[in-house]
Amino acid sequence: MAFVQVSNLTKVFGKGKEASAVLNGIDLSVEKGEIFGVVGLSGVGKSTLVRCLNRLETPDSGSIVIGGRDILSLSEKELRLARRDMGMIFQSFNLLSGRTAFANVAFPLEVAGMSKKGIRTRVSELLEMVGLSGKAGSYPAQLSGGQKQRVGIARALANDPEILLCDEATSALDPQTTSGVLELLADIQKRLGLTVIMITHEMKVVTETCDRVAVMDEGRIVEEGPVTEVFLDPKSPVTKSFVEVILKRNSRFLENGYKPGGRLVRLRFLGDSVSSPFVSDLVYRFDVEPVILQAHVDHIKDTPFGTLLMDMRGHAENVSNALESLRAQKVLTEVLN
Amino acid sequence: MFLSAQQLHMLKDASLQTLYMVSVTTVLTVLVGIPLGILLVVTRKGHVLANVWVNRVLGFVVNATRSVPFPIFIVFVIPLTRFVVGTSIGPTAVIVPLTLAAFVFMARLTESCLLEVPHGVIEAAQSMGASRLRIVFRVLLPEALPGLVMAMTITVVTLIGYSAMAGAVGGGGLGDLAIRYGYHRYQTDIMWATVILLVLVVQLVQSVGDSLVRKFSRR
Repeated sequence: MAFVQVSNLTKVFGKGKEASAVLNGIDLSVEKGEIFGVVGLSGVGKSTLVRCLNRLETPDSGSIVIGGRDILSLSEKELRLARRDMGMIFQSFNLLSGRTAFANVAFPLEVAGMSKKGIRTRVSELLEMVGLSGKAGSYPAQLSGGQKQRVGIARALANDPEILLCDEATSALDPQTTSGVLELLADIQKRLGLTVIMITHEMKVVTETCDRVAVMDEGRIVEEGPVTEVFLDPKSPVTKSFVEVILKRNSRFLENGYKPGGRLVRLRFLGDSVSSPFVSDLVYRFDVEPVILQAHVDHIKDTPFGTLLMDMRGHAENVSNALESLRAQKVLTEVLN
Repeated sequence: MFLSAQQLHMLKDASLQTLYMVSVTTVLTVLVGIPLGILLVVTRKGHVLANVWVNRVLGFVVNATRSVPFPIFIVFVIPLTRFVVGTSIGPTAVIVPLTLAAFVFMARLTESCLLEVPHGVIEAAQSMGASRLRIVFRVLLPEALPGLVMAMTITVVTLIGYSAMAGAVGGGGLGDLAIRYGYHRYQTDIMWATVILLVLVVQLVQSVGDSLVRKFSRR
């Protein structure tokens, strides 16, 4: 059984005519030690989903089992203890404004009943881990957004949780700060072997950090799998639109009425094939003249991937041979005309 | 302005009476009003001690108490005042209606301060496994502290105003002196003296309150 097992979770907000199903039968399994992303537009229920996991929100039906604990059947006292094993970070950081960074991180330790001396040592460790040793005495109002979220992360990890829930943790941050916070999260996750569930509306967050991803729409999970697969070969319209944001796939050439001289082909490739010289192969081996219209090479977490839009000019037979050979090299090909 | 020795003596007595009424009432008001304000918040729907009925009843009692004009309220609670203090006349007797009127005021102010604390902060504490009591005393109250100090300042200033009506039942105090001598007997100098004194006292209370708010405020 997976570390996190969610089955047939439903939640309806409102009553009578105004009732709307926010979660519409969610099934989800997250393995121990992976970073699992849940991506979707705002209002599709992804925040509600993650808030159900530590019962900040109570679902109407379904089951949630985390680390062998049946979350929905816990008594209030058991829930409080269980919550200490689950850290959570928030979009708006939710730090206590009247406490310093140090005292904010100390809060969950006070809750857990740690001694003053123990708290001092542990908080120093945690602040060092998130790179904020020098800011222990600063109040949240004196910290930048990125620093506040680092305090949030230190606080969430204070009691050594097994799982970290991130509810749009980087959505209030600018792109550079987002990257810094994501790097920190990925680094900590690797070191501590944490299981992380990351709710986001930014595909970039998923491709930079997540191992697997679920795409949510209208209270359902419409697509799920390893990020590389979902990303390279999206099936549902929602996923496609998310991927397009990253790849900028909608090429201006087509919109502006570009007249291809041959077959217009989109190639997508992953991992080792990124470094294979298949474009020059097209020229030398198949006598095809490729005109590159758009190219993009990047990483999904640690796996390189690329996309290429080209106009393959040449003898029809040569072109189809070339495509055949590309497919044999596990390059996804898509002929657009 | 030339005040006679007798007038100065009256001013001194009146000042002490006001000080007595306002300070005792303030202590009682804070002791009862803040807890009532906390209850008004935490029994709200979706809050840490949600209880719709308790909330409705408390809300009704608070509103009802606040609806009655203070001079009528003084007369209205006379039986209670007699029961508690033994008499319905004098500065000590006035403390009863004054406290009753002020603590519901303080409760509403407390309520609005506590509601200013972002709900996300409470949720964060819940997500860390904090108990309800810890959330109230370690999250809600400390986060609302600057607002609470401001609310107390407002309450004290309001009490100084209310205590002027204490004269109706022989409570004395500066306001009473201004009405009886300054207004009814045309002793304009007494009126001016009390008004200036009251202005100074209110300014002092407000600036002490403001500096405390600055001290506690971290936003």
